[in-house]
Amino acid sequence: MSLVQASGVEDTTPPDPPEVVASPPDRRSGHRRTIGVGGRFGAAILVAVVGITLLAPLTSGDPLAQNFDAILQAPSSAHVMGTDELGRDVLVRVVFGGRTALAITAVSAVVASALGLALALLGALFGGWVDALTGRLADVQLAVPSIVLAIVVLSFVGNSFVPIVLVLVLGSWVLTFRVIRGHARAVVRQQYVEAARVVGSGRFGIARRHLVPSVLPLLAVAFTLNASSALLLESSLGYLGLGVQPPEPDWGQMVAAGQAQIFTAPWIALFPGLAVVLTAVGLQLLGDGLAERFVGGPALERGLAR
Amino acid sequence: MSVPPIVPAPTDPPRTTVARRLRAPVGWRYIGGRLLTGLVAVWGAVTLVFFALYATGNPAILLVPPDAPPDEIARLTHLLGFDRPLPVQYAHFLASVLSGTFPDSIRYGGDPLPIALEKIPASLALGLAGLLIGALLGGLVGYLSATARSAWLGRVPLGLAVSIESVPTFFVGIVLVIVFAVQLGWFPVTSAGDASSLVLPALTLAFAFVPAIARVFRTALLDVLQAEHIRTARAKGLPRHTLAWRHVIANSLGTTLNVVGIQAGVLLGGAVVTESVFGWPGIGQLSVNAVQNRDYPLVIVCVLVISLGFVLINLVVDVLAAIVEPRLRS
Amino acid sequence: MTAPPRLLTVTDSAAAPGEAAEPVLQLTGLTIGIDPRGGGALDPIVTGVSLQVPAGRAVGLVGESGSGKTLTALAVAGLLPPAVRVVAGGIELAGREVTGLPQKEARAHLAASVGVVFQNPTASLNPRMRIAAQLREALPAGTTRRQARERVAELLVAVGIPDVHKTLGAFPHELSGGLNQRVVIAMALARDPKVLLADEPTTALDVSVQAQVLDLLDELRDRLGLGVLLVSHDIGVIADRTDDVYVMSAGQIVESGSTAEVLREPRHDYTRQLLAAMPGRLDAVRPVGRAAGSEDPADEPAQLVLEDVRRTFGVRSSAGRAQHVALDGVGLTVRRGQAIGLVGESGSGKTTLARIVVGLERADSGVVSYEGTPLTRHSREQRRRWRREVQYVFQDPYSSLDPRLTVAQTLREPLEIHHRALSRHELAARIDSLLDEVELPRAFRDRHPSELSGGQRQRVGIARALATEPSLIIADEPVSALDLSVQARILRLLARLRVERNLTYLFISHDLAVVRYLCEDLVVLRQGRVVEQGRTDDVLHHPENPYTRALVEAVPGRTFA
Repeated sequence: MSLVQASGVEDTTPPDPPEVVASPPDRRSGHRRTIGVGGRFGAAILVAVVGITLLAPLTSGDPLAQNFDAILQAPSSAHVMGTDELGRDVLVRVVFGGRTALAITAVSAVVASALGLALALLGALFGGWVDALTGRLADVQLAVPSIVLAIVVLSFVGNSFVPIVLVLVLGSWVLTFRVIRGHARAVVRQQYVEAARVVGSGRFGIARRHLVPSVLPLLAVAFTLNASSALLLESSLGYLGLGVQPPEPDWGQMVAAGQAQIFTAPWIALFPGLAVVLTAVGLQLLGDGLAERFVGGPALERGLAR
Repeated sequence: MSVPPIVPAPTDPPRTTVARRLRAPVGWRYIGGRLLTGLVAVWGAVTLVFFALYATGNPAILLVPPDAPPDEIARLTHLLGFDRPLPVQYAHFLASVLSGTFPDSIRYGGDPLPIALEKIPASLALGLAGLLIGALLGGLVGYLSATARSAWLGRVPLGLAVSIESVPTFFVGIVLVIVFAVQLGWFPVTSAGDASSLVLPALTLAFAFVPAIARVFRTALLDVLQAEHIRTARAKGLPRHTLAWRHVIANSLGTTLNVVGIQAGVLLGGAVVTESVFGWPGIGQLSVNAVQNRDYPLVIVCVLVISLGFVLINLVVDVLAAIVEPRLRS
Repeated sequence: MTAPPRLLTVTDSAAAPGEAAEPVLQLTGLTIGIDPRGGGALDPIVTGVSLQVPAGRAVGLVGESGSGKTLTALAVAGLLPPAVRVVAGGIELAGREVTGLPQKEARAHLAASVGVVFQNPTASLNPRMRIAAQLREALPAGTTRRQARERVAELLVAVGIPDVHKTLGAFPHELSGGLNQRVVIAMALARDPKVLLADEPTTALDVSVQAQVLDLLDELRDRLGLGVLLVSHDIGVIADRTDDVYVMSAGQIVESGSTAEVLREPRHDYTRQLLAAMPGRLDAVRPVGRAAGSEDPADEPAQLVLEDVRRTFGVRSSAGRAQHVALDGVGLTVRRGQAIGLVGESGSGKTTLARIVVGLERADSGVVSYEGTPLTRHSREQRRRWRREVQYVFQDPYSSLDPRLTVAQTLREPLEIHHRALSRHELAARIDSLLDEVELPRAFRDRHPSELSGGQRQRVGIARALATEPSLIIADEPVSALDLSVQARILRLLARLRVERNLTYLFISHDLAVVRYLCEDLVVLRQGRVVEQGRTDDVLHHPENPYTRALVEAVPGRTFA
């Protein structure tokens, strides 16, 4: 230290005092460690619903089998959910209807979340016109109500698997996009990301080290949001007759068919509807549990309030 | 540094109050900008319809009754320009939409535009009734959950409202029908368009609004309650209700309107479903029927009318939000 | 000057200096507790605070963050947050004991006798209401519409707002911070209070505006005989503006007395430490020769040169789009081994300049050269070198560390990028030596930022900047978010590192004392232009530019420091 001139050189600086970290600014402090009772319950519901529908062909009968000796029977031990006007077993049809509804929902949710995630990350990482373009794309999407989209696509293109998925994806990717984008933009504006740029990290490095790890928990939350919105939209399309066409069973479509018998046999409409509700509740509970765990608050308002 | 100059007291009190009241609350520039965005959205919907039509091959086949003779199809194909190059077709399509000329409705015959337009009052009545009930209910639930001291009042209504979010609108309608029309017999099952048949559809639609409004309003309230200016207002010793209405609730409306506006598309879907459940004679049911009847000219008209309506709704929401929240104007 | 307008009843309790006036605010043994879990058990956070504010006098309450000074003020104003309560002790306001009064009565008495001014003026006003409406509702109940209209205008005149009519019709976001603070003060005066509570009233404002607002408070105190309780962390402000002072630490008053005496001869250790930590009182650590100011640094090679750098931002405002000129043709030369202080008020462009130098922002025009080559014409090799040699220390110790990464992970990032050949073992050793260098225990390796204090975080930030073995460090207000005592330690650390590592500093600050401690050279920036530059001591003692002079004169505590 010969270069140093006198005073205060043998710096006797004591270590920082036990500075009281008053109300620790830990962003995680408000979070729970687990997804909570509700979240676990939701997960259990989903596992049960998916399991039952997957195993359906092994156990149940034929959802299309008509039995004119047993039409419009009330729920009983022989037909737990009763039968419809063609004598078909409602339980079997609900289970098989779930296969259609869940398959479409799952595919749509995966594609929609992936699309939303990709566009959001691109926008956040590249900023500038890429961000402006993806943002504008979402605006355009929001400006075309999904019901209009559904009517146009499904009436002109037809209502098979792919167009329905297309409608659901277009109708719900913005959800994931908004949730992730809001967060990713906030992260990218954080000084620690700027610090990473200054020490020489490239876009890829920043994405790998800072952005993706911070976005992943949110993606889980966004995915459940997306899935429940896709499920509700899918069943609504089915109900309106725009979705999967009879005789193939589908929850929404079965409710619509059952509505004609609502005075005499309300169970035909009730049970498939309850199946939708049960699945959606499972998704919502799981989503809220994940949100409490990772984000520190209910999922929806976090995403939409941005 | 010297004491800041004290300006002489003003001789005349501010006279701008009256003038300010007469001025438009939100600049025309702002409204114009929003309207332009909306028109771009309508143009998007029109383009979407065009390409959906185009994707089917020869759209002319779709636009005439199934039993139409081939020369009729050929005539229409030529008339609508479907034998021209794509850009020309597109220009033709835009021109016919702008001039309001559409092929005849397959189901009803004649110009489809008046058929769709005459359904608007019924849809409007249902929408307004549902929105009113939903906003009041959702607002109440949101306010309780943000401010109630008792855990019961704070959590239970919100929990109920939020769980409705997992129930698809058509099923809400079906359950209401089963309980109030089938079991209790209080209201008719399908609508005749009169007041008593409005109750169940309006409730169903309201339930589609309640969770979103409750959640968003709650978040907005909680944000405002934490804001520093609330502390300033409290320091003034304002009465409790003045503080609540003028400073807390009024300041939460802007955000709430904005977010609800973003979700307006979802809510519009809810309205279409509600009309179908109850056979409400509105534009939503008409368009669903048109799709089922493969009445493509009518479908096109319905889509345009709904899109325009959607743009108007958004415009109203934007203007309202800007009125209650001056910062949004800049 | 015109005669002060007749507006607020001038109380005759306005005491002449030295004369003991009766206290308008008296705290006796005030104890405040927090109930963190809502279970009813109260942890005390302020204990046994007693103080007096006589009419016509300004009393300072000084302390670092977490000392309980703000809670004490909030308790007086009846504005404690929900989980916090007064546990014991008395608050006597304008001759009336407030604790124990029924809530409604207490609120009415508080509203009538206390005016409150907060730290953040713009956030303290309702963004949705025009100024006129907000002032009107601050008037005492029962004011008629016509009276209200006159009073509101009078109040704004009294706080020295030039264009009253325009201000009345404006929304808070359309006004500057200084104007908004005047509005807040007007609001506090609206009910003719006896006591004015000012909680860090100028901390969010620029020095020049700060001085004006404090002048206004002084003037109002004299004219209206107000008792002013000024809560601040800034000893300079306290020294200039208060008659008596109470020093608070860890929820207790540790020392009190007349301001002049306490600051001249502090009796309590804490007060002494606090005073010693003032940047103006730190002993400088300078490289030999340089400190004497005799050697001309001009013969050193220029490391960084800025020529005619311009940068504008598009700003959207109610008036439509506007251009904000952040940098308006700035030229600057940084030579090896120099420490240049870059000072200016907010909006002067100093941060933009720093960001351009490290590549976080681009200049619209002009040339930024590093080691003789413009950044835009760097070869790959030169670019890598610039990236390694020029590093940045950020202002905010909270957002500049990734909350998900441990200290070691944060430090590993630059090491992995610039020293790829390092083995795992060598990496760990480097990280340990970096921690040593910034005086952090090696055990902190595995801590997350949430487990560190602000000062410790800033040390990690400095270690990260050192990891690439830089030669030029740009530091943007690296100590402004820290408490005085922590600030002093970080400044000493920076001074020592400069010597040990032979670093060049471009140091950005709004605080002249901090710059004076660390930098021999000074550049004054105003509205995107360099208005003055030279040796720090020369500029501070003999400012040539009127703006610099105003800036220097506006610094609080000059008489004292």
